[in-house]
Amino acid sequence: MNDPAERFTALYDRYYRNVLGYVLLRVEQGAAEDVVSEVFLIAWRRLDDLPESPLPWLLGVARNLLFKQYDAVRRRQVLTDRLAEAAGGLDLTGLDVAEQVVERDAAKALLAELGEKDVEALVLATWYGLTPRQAARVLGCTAATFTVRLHRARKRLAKATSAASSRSHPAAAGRMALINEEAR
Amino acid sequence: MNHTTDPIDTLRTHVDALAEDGYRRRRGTDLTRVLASARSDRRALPTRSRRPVLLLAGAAAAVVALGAAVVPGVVSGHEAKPGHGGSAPRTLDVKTVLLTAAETVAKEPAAAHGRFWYTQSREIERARQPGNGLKPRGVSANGGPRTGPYYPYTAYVSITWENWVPYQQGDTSRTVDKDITTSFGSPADKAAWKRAGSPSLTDMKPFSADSRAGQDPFLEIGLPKGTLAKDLPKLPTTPDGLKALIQKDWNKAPATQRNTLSAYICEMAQNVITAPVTPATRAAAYRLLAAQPGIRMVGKVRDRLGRSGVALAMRRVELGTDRKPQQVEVHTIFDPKTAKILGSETYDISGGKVAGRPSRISLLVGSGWTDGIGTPARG
Repeated sequence: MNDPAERFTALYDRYYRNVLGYVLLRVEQGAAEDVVSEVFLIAWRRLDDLPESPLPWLLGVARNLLFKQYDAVRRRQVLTDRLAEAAGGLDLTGLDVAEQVVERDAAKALLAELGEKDVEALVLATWYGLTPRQAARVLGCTAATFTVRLHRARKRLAKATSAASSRSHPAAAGRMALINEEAR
Repeated sequence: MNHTTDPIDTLRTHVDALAEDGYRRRRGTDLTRVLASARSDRRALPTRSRRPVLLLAGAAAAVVALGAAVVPGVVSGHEAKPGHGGSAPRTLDVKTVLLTAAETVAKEPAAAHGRFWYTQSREIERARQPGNGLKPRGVSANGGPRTGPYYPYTAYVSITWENWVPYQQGDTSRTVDKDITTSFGSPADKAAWKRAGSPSLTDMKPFSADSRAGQDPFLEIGLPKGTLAKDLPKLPTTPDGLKALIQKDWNKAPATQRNTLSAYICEMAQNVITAPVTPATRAAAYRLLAAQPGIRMVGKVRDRLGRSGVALAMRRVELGTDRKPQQVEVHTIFDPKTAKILGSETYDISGGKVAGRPSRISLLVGSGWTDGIGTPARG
């Protein structure tokens, strides 16, 4: 496949969603799509120089554009909104209304305990399966720094998850009781 | 009920759906747009956000960071003539011109410093529409450059800058913004502006302020943070030494934020040439510039102040006042007789094509040491 247009189209089809997913953590949908268009335009111009596994490179370019074009306050707000939306969209079929409320609140509280950097580290490692070295390239830090960041993020996540699940049961019971009483 | 919901998984499910949406919506237009654009300007790396230039105190520093520069009402109110004055004899070659300049500056006597380093320049920038409410960081009280898209007609806003930067730390510095005028690319552009209801073309206002910053780093090119005026004589005097310093600075930027090293060197070498460095350092900067690939000879030109010089073109990526990276071709004009840089013209590149008219013109009107704040230096 030596035709540049073909190679580019394959690159786009393979990685567009990954890059957009990453950018969606920081800016609203329309803006995110514009950023990703820009990323792929740059990739097109640099097509012959792309590394063998181009995803870290693409994510790095995206992150760079994001940080230049959008301030930190706005980026954090979008991340918070996304986390809240994600919690709101949990598939909770099979649970009754009260249980759903509790489950969503627990998820929101849990996500709120994770910082921007935690989420970023976890996303790069688990969604994209990047090695510390690749992730470090995206973030512009060293592999060692990334490893530490990821380790801490995982610890915070584990702590938050266990705290949330121990919270949710008694809370669910209390709420149920209240609702049942009102129904009576 | 024991959902040990992994929030990162939850988040992924949600974001994946949004990304799938985006992919379906954008694939057609994205591919069409990208494949229609030329691949010739493959050097389009995202640039770094910091623009190390002369770092000046107060309001001026803010504007420098936004990429603006200087000079007085020369394009006063009327048509800025597009294009470059003279035509280019092809016999000039980049290396010869730059190496000759290096010899010229090396022969100059070292100037004793005064109390203030004075600069005056005139910055002519293509007018933009008001931004979308997101103010660029560090906008000064005198109104900043606008962040919106260009007006659909070609209009320019010109402003003169004067700065007095003290040699001694803690001494007063002064920054002055004045002579704000507007002009148009052509009479047709002016007519289009009138038809559009003659909207205001800038938010900038005349301004003058004194400040006493504790630390006025004078010039930063990978020197230890806070390099002061008195450190400038210690800059390297060989092209390799200067290159090492610039490369050290370049290396600090994450790989993804880099212009090419060569593009970065071109930019930094010019900063060194216009700064109050020793003749030997300035000569080294010219030699370093001569060693860079990809510099194109434009030829003999006359700048917007009517000064004649030679223009050299270099490509790089810059951040516009809209904070978007833009690939540009910068034409640096210098006087081959004195080897002084007279200014530069910046042309946007889009779809591989260099714009016919500049988006920005910087005219360096004068610079030099002076002992009185408010007193311009001669030269």
